[in-house]
Amino acid sequence: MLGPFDYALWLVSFAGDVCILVCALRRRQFFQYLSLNVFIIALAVDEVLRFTVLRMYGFASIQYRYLYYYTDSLLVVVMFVAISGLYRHVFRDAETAKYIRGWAVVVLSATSLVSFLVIQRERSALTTRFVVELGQNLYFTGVTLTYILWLAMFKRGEARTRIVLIVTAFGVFFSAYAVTYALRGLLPNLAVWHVIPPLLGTWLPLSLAYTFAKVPEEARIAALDARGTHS
Amino acid sequence: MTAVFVMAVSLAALAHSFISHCRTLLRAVANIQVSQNVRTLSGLDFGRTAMEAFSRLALLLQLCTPMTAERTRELRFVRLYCAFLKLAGLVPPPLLGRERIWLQREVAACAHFAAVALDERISRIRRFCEHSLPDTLRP
Repeated sequence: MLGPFDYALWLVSFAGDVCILVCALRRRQFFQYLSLNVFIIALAVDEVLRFTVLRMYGFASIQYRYLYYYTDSLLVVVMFVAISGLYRHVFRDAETAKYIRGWAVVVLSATSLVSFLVIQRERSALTTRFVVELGQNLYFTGVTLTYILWLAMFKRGEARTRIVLIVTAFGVFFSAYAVTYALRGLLPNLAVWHVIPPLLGTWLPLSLAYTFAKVPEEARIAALDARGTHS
Repeated sequence: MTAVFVMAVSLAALAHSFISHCRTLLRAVANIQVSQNVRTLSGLDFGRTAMEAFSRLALLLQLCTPMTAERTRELRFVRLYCAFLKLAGLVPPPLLGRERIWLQREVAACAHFAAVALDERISRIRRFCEHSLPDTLRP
């Protein structure tokens, strides 16, 4: 049964998504951050779907569980595309920019292949712990990709406040989710696991909404010393 | 075993990303000048330490209710970051060398952020009073 807390979280996340898209459209930056905005649209659609299924079938239903884990896995893949878009922003003037699309395709293909192989091998365990383990792997890949991006930013002395905030927001999101999944694997019976993922789910829309609404494109990190800021 | 490894690496990444995120928020306002009034209120001009100034400013910010949600969310992060710095400052002095200077600089940045937020709130309230209140009620 949904309580005020669930409604509030859903509303906040959805409002965050809408705010990001409105900001991008109003400032005519939708295509500049295309992959990120596509991810936000996917996130908004996912939130509406989950909310509808949650209301119709309830939290403990098999329909909601299937929807949750499979849309979650799909969403992480879309998120990888968004991160590859951020790589292109960071390396926008570099020679390496043209290779990033290729690398993104390789990483996505490798992740999909590993997931497919695991599904083939553990088909009988699909409804048990498999989806949780798959989620953990995907989020951990996300942590690694984001961390590599952060290192690249650090090396290049990236000073664009907006890009740094977006990347660190993704870093917090992925690592918090990976910690949650890992702890869930270690202590599966805690009731708190029903509350933490939705709470974490609000972090990304809210922090991105703040970044797009409040931080102008031309803002640069002051007193830079960019290296000092990132270290 | 995998879960423990994932948890350890992710916890480290979480702490690092959180610190980077907070530092970026702090650096985004580093160039904004604070009015003399707020500097005086914070006590920084009277030799208070940055941590004392931050605590004082945090209290003043609670008294000065925001008219909009301006910087409320970031302030929560900065408070959390400052609490983390306070905790790190408890490490015995022999173990902290140059890191202590870094900690002090970061606390000063937190105090500056709180001062900027307070300044903005006061300015907004002043503007509101100037435009909305009748002459007799204006401060």
